[in-house]
Amino acid sequence: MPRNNDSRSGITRRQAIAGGASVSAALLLAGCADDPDLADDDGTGGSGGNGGNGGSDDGGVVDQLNVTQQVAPVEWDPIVLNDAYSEQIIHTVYDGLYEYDVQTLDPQPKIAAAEPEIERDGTRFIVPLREEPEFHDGTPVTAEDVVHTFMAPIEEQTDNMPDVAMIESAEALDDHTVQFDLEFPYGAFTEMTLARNVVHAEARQEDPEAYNTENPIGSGPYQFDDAVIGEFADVTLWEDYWDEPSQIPSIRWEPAEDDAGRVSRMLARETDVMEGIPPADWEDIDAEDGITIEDTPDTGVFYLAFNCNEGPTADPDVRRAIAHCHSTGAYVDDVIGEAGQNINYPVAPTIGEEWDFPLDEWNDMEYEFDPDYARELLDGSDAIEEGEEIHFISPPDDLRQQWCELVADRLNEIGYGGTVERLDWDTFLSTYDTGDADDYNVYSLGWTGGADPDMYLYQLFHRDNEGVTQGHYYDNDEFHDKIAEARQTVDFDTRRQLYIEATEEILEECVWVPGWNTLSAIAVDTDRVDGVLPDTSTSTTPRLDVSDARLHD
Amino acid sequence: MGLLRYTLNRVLQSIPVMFGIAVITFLLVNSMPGNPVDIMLAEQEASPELIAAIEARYGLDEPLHIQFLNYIGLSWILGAVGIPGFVGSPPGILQGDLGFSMYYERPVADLMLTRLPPTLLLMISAFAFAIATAVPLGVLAAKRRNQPADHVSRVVALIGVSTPSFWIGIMLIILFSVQLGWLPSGRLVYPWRDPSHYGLTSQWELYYQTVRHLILPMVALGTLQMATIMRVERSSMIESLQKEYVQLARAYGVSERKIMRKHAFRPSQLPVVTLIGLNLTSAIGGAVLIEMVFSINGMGRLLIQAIQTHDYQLTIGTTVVIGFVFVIGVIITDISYAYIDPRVSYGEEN
Repeated sequence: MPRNNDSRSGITRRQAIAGGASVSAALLLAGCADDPDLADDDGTGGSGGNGGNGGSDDGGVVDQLNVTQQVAPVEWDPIVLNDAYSEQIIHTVYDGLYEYDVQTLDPQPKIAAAEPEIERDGTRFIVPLREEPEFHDGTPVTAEDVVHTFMAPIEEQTDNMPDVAMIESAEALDDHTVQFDLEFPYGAFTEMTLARNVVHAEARQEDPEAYNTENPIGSGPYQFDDAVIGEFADVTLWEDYWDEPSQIPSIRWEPAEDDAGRVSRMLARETDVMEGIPPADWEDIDAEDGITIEDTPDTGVFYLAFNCNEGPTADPDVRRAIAHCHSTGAYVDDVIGEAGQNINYPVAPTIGEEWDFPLDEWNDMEYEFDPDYARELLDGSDAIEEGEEIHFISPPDDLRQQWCELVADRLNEIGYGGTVERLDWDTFLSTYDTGDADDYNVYSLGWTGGADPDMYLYQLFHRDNEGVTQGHYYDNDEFHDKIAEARQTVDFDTRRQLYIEATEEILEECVWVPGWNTLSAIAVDTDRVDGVLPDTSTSTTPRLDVSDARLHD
Repeated sequence: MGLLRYTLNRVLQSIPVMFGIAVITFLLVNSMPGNPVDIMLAEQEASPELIAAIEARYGLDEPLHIQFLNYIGLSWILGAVGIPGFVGSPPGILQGDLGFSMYYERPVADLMLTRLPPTLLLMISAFAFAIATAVPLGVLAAKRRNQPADHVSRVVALIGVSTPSFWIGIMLIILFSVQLGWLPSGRLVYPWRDPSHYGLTSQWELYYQTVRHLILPMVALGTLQMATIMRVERSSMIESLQKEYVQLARAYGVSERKIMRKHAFRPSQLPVVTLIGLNLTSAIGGAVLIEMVFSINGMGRLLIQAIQTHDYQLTIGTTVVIGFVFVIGVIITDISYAYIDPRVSYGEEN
């Protein structure tokens, strides 16, 4: 028999063609055929093959809620984790000592049995604990666990150390009482510091790495099940939860960093809940039948800040002129649209309302669009010459960049100039806080604060944070003293008055042009799930540990 | 020179290349503006002591040349032979340790072991799709040169070459996932995972879902490759069909089918194989975007995250591994030449 070199592989041409046809048919069938064993086409019959609810036939777990995150979580130990997206998952696994009220951000006792007793002029806080809470391994939550939770970030110098740095010592007075002694009176201690997730001290100390990467044990309504970083994280309901149980049997989180991919996933009903709604897609998602956008004001504020240290913007009149030459309100209405609201104060509206700040008055103080007056102010200033350009820097974010460009354009129109430099995050972070006029005159940034005005006024305006979290270098001793005093005062009324005075000075001296507060929003497939709401904080959005949230039968 | 010796030679030659990749990447990563500790602390009010502690934890407090020696693993070797100042140095690349990710708080090698399989699955399937479609279409276009089939293939190739793969991906998602609902819009179902993870009951269901989830990213990534391979296949086949030995075969009355199969096709594959070999490795750039669009947990997404967070060791580790894959791809391409074309030798003198 003659040797056929072409058939050395043992596959004949006929076989190859048949094989190719089979592959093609398989691909075609895989793409187009309906599998009768799997969910129906309206997306109500099951959850997704890879975590989605399966608009058509993805298979999947029916009693599992699927949540799509905009950024992948990375770790699970509350002592070291320092990102909102890990926290979104972990807050269902852990209970906090205190936890924030969904609407008001007022801290409510959770593992704590009551409000703390405050002694020694606000330098000692004594917290009583409940007796019922247990960790998922059946161990009771004790005062030693709470002490470890608050002291470990300091002892181990983790990224979270700044959050608890004011604690001098924490001591277990008995199994269910903890005493915190502070280095100085800290007015926001209950609001900002005590709302931390309580860790299982013994399990964590036994193997800290495993606790962070594989086996976090909390006392929350869900047990950690399984996770692959960047791909998914699963939690399942803990049947013996000591408090009111959730109604959702299991939850799977999956990240989708690309905006288009994430939105498509929602529109194709491959997920039940999506957080991180791009403003440009807001209307399209909201218009979709069976998908609802739930929103609430979050704790973020976006702003323009002036370099008060050097250069033309060290002159308050130049700053006022820049504020007058454009309309922030119109920009927010046109560009941010339903995804945010215009504000003219440096705290989140939720905090402002909780503290009964004069928000309406502050909104009335907004610098109106008046290009003629802006030109007059600039002409009258010795700090800037006609035609001189103001240098704006923006992080790599279209919304903030466009805001800078709008103001720069308006400056050009009135005979002065503006240049906008969009920097990548790393460069921006090492540039915006130098106070050097060669680096910037104006920067655009945002800030996610917290449940107390201290998180805004101290972090963003006090001179302690020059070169750390603020780069405007606004200098007035009386102003800084007010903020410091408010921080170290426990009396609410005194603190409130000090913050009002400081805020009015910020607006009058035009240290900032406040821009907008974004909404914490989620898209929800209402054919699949009810009662899932966003929280005011990205870190705890969506709220899934509440009894109202449930999957449809 | 035999195949084994030739392969060994090429592998040895790749060592300085790999070292060069590591050096260049290390220098580039360290010359990026910004500070990883700033990003890690997310603009918190951190004390100098905390910043110093974090820098010491990740070896960022050392001078750059010491950081490099540590990373490469030379410090460990110097320490092992007892040179003062290097004793107790951590292992590096030479000891098989790719470092520790600051962002993920995990060993870089562990992260890559998780991320490499999805990327390989995506790339292999994309190239299988590209080769399975491009080669027959290229041959057909050459055989029917200047006829309608040729015109159609050329237009398809032109569109494929000139359209960004991420855009094709988005369009495919809009059409097949959002509008028609035929295929899932993203991520992969891994055939090596337990079916119950996806709520499936059998292995066959798992394979079925794997194929369904793979189709769109495979087509999106493979279209560009298909187009480029098809163009080269067509021109190479046309060139072969014009050779004198083909004319001679025709004159002897050899059938057109046999001419195509035996005399034209095989010699035409040399440039195609070269192209596939080089594209296979460079396609990881396209995979980065496709992984983002389809939310696939692969090397591309890992690399993007590493760069964004200034995770030095992860950035260098992923780059070195991608470089390694590229070098291996080139070696395999070279070796495959001889299999396809007997005229190619392994360096023997004629």
